[in-house]
Amino acid sequence: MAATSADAKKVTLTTSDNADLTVEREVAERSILIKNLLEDIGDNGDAIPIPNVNEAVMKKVLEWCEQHRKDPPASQDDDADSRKKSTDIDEWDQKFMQVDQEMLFEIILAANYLDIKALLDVGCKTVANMIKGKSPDEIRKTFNIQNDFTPEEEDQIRRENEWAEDR
Amino acid sequence: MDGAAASTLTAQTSRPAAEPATTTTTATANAPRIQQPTPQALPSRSGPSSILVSPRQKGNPILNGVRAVAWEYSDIPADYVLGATTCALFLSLKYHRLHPEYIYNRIRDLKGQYGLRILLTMVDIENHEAALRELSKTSLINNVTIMLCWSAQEAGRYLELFKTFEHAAPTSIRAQQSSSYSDKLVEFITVPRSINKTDALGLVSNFGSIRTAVNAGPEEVGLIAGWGEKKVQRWCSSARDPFRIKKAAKRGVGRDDSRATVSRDISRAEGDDLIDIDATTGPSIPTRAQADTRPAQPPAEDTFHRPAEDEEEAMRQAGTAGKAARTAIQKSQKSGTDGSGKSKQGEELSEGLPTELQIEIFGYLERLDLKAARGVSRKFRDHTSPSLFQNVVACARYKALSAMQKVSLHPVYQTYVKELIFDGSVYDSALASRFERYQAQADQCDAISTGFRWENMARYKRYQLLYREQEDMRTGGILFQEVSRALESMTKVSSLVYSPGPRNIPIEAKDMKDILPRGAGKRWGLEAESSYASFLDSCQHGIHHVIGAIYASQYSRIREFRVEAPGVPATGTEFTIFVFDFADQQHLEAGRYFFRQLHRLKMNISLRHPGTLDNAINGNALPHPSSASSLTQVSNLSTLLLEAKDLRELSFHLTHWQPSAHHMYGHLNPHPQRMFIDLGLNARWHKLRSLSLGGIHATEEELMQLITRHRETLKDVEFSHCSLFSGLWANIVDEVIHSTSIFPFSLKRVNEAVIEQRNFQDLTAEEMEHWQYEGTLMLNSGGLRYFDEPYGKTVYSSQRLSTEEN
Repeated sequence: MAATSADAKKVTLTTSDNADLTVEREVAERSILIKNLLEDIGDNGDAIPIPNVNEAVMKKVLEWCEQHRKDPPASQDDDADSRKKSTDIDEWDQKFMQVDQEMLFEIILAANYLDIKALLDVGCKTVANMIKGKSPDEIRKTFNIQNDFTPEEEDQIRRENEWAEDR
Repeated sequence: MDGAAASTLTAQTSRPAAEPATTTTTATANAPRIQQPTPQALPSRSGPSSILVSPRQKGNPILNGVRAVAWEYSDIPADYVLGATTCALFLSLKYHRLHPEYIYNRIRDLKGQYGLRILLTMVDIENHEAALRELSKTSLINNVTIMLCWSAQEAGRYLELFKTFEHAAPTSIRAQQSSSYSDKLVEFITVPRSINKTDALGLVSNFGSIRTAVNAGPEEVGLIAGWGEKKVQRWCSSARDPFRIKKAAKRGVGRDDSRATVSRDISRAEGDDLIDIDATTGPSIPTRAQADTRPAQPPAEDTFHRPAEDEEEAMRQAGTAGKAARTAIQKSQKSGTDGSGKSKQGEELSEGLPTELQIEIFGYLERLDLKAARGVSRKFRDHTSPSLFQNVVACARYKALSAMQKVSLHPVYQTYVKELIFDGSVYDSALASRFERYQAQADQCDAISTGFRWENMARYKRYQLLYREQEDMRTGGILFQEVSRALESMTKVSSLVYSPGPRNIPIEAKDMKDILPRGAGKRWGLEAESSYASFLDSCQHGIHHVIGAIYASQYSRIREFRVEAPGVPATGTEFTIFVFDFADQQHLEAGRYFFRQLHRLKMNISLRHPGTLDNAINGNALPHPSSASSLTQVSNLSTLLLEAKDLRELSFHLTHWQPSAHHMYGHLNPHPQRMFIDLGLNARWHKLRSLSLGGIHATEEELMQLITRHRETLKDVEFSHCSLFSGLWANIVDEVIHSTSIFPFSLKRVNEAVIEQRNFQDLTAEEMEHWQYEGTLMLNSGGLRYFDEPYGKTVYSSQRLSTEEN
């Protein structure tokens, strides 16, 4: 099994529901988790178990990795948190993220688990965009959330909101 | 749970009096069966003999209830320390309802210390079920023991008891184990509610053995005297029903279930062995009703279980009443048919994603969206708050400062604050002093509506009032005091920001309605009559008080100082060199202390008199400082820059660039050529990684040395609007490309002072545009570094010119 020619370096991933997915190593290595794993154990052709992600989600994640395989590595911008973040998402990613909420959350969780920063950011931005410009009631409808506040607490929140700037 | 608490208590009070200090009266009542305690190693009596009380608890009425034991204040992480390994936190549910995060932080702060961690919970609200359910879950996860109390006296008594029984042996509270067979038998049968000893005896004497009694049908049991319908039903359901409630059992039989199932099977099959089982699982044989009220199992992830979590775990959770009810509500709300097993918990954002991801998501939201999201649910509120209270505004305005104070006093929000923003905009003294002036500006301001004269007059009065408040706060030291005090509690603040302003807080919106915004329109502080001193006063706007407060409280965690440039169009008060005109040596000391801690300095600073844009262009003379005091300001600034030895990032931009150094610096420094050195830019910062200079006139040599001095550490360099008195940008670019590893590197509109033997400043605007270089260091596909200049002249243009001339 000398399938180690430069173009066809493949790895096999075993998902939580025991499906085997074979992808090019470069694609799989968008995931820092898998990348580190491969570096640590060496590529001996064994399937890599991904116990936290099921097949449907993994396929979706790999679709994204395939599209973004050539992206430059994320800059280690450690001060990024202090700046105001933009919620712009490029067109392909926007289309990619047009999935039902359950899938969206699964993708975010998978990206978090697999340590794919860029995908996680896109996912978080997508959810943030779903919240933007909505009233509390509309947000509750969007995410199917119960209002568990007492009138007292709602009042408290109104007061607390006045302590912080609006912009 | 309250039952559990109470039973612990009674068990403790009724134990034989092992310690003479005990005042328990019931102790001797059922003392006849004294068991001689077996000798045991006592825990070392290292703890003090009194209850230690955190100063946080000062004024808590429960302290009045602690009479039998001495107590004293002490600096401890818990609220009370009751022994070497025992501590207690106090929580009022009323407070918990408003600040549910509080207790989690307190528990976290215990950092796993203490063997017994008591959460003394005062039940002082009506609807306590939900709160207590959450608390009991938390307590399981965090190894905390909840004690409920309904009054201050009761709470105080508990504290006393825990202290007095600190070293008590556990024997006395162990359950009495029945020794004889018949006792065990009766004990087992009477486990279901409402079945008493007489019933048990009747049952056994009728059926002969427990096996037959268990296997008997309800109609047979019902024949026994004293066994009515209810009892029969309870007995039979206890003996036959599965341990888990039906819904959960139907859905899945999991691994965890096996032990319970097995024991049930045994109980069916081997009646005679039942007593053994009784000993191990007896008390927990649940009737239907008990199973429903049982507190939740300790779930692996309690509040934010992930969809990927074990299905079994989820089902078990669904088995508890509260959870089931909640899911049921959610399910019923969900439209369509997928109400059952197939859909996971992933649908709900607050349930589906772990806290850190939710906080990250909310980090993308603007403030107004954050505020809307806070109103959605408790979880949303808790997860948006870190972003919303990430920064607070400090300024000399009562209402705004009160908002900062409230955040700083909030036990949770205070820990979210990372950035202190100083709002530089001020109510103008000149405007506050004369109505006509005020009104002239107000008329030009679109933001406020025009009103009748009496309305305008009233608004002007309000402006005056706000102006006076502002002055009082600055001169009276209130700003200073408040910031010092706030820094004591906001211990995560790592950044100070100077904002030209105005930064308004909603809490003060009513006060400011329809009056002239701060920093709007032209400044008036520049009239002929105003002296330099009053002018200076108007530039200093209070940032000194903030830095003074940082110094006074020796707050040493500020790593970043960011001075923002005014927006377009300019509003508020620009940060100027006049800030560095220190009235006394203390200010310089405070500044040194502050700059010494900095890792990042981003300064947009104007060398001009504030608000004098028009005047400066017209060349009008202003209240002019003597050049000696100007140089002092420059040298103060350079002292502080030198003091900032730990800087990793320096961004230093002089605003209002002028093509001529004389126009830019001349009023401050008779030798504009020396400005680079006078500003202290010839310093060496040993850790400097990122450098951005703007609006600087310097020589090629000076900039070149700046780069080579920091060659080891420097990664990121940018020059914008910089001019070379002498030398060529081409040389600097070559140096960067070939002798350093700097990347990225960029030039933005930089120029040389002499172009083709003409002065740059004498060029026409068009020519100037032409001779301002702009470019970025790039890597080609082969990994080679080259300087990319997409438009205009390249840095090498003038080099060629000069070589041609030679």
